[in-house]
Amino acid sequence: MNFWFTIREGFKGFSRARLSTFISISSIVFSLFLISVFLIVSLNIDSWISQLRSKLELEVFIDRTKSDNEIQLIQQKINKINGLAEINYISKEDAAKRFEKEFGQNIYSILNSNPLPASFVLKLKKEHQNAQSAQIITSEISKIDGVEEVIYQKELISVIDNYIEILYLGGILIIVLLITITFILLYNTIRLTIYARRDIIEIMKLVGAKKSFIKRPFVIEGILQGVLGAGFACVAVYFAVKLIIRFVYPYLILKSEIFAILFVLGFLIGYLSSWMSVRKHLQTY
Amino acid sequence: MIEFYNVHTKIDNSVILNNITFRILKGEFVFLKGSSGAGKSTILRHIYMDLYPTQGMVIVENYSSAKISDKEIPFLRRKLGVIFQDFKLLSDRNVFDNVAFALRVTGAKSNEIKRKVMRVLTEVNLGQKRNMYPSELSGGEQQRVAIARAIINNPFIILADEPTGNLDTKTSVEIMEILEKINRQGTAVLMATHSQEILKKYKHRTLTIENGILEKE
Repeated sequence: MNFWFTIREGFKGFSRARLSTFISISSIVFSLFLISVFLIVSLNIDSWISQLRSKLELEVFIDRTKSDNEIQLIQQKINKINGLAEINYISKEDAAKRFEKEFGQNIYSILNSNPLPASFVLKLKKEHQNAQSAQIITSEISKIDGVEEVIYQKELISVIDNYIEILYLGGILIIVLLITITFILLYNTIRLTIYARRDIIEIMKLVGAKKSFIKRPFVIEGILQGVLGAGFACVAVYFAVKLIIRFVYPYLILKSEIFAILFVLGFLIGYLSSWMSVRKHLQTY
Repeated sequence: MIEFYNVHTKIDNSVILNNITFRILKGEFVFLKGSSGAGKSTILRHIYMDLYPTQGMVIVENYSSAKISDKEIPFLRRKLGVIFQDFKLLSDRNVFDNVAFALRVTGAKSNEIKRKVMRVLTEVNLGQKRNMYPSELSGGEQQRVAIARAIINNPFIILADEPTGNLDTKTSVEIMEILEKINRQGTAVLMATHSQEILKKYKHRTLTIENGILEKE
């Protein structure tokens, strides 16, 4: 099989059907751009949520009557609990300082004594930064003798847990929908291209070209369109993100993986849509 | 070499061919005569297996319409040369590439392509116009390009569907002379025509078909 002939024919398809090539590539660029918008939004929401989760702290208040030794024993017990990333001890004095920092007044000057209990501030490991784990860990710590109360932002973490799945599912659905639309657009444009070039296909058939030989230039053309579309979409996304960072929202995150995803999608959409449309056309000899 | 056995063909419930039986031998020149719509093109399409009989069988060399698989069709067609009234040339490539096309699809090497294309173009007297595009050629020249493309794979038969239908008398004669020459070199020719002039001038075996029925020879 003449490899270069096939490649050349694939490239020639571009100049032969300029309008349909332009329509195909534009629709790919448009759809991939929309897909990347959703990817970037998801990426940023995800990173924002991770940050929120990482801020999740359990505050364990110790019975005021406990001595330093007993507090040490409590710490040892807490240490054994699974899922903790960090344990910080806040003594009664530290608590008083925190109070002063937060309210601007010394607790001794208000109450003549320090009623604030000592506490431990616990951070959870990444995989435990969710409502269920926080609940389990809290109940385990509460059982330890000398622990008066465990508090954390229960409401916030529950809301995140409840809505994150809906958010992810919605994002995936929208992306699948966009991919399907791009696929159908390209499938139909390539069918039009094939129809416009039915003469060359007819002649190929007449002179004894195998089906695979006839298909290949169209598939190569489809792949080229997909990859080129992805390239343009990447450029558009890059500059759009730059502009947003500069003028609208400086914290926007863009990862290079998004470009890789766009290229893979472009390739796959180009390959599959052209392969399917040419296959449909060549069902009979 | 080519045999039709009681071929019946229906398309969309109308009978196109009705009990056709004939045989074409190696190296023969045969006219297929009949008015428009008589079934001449259908017979040719049966030979290059673009269409299959509803009943009966067509045998072309080692291939039978009853048994041929999709994968074998390209190999059958490489043994045939087909030319049409409307030439069916690719307007976006020059004479050389139009002819080379038939070899390229078979995966021939570029040296072999150059050598063979120039040989057949010389045979149809178009070597000097190899870089011209179909639109720059006369009708007769375009048909000669089509003939060059048809013979480049050394077919055992040329199937010609009204090859002079779009040409004036003088040019028709030129095309006929080329087909005669190809035939003298051993390639069979089956030519569909309704031109009385050609049938009178060139004396060959003639199959007459009317309303899908083959008249007795």
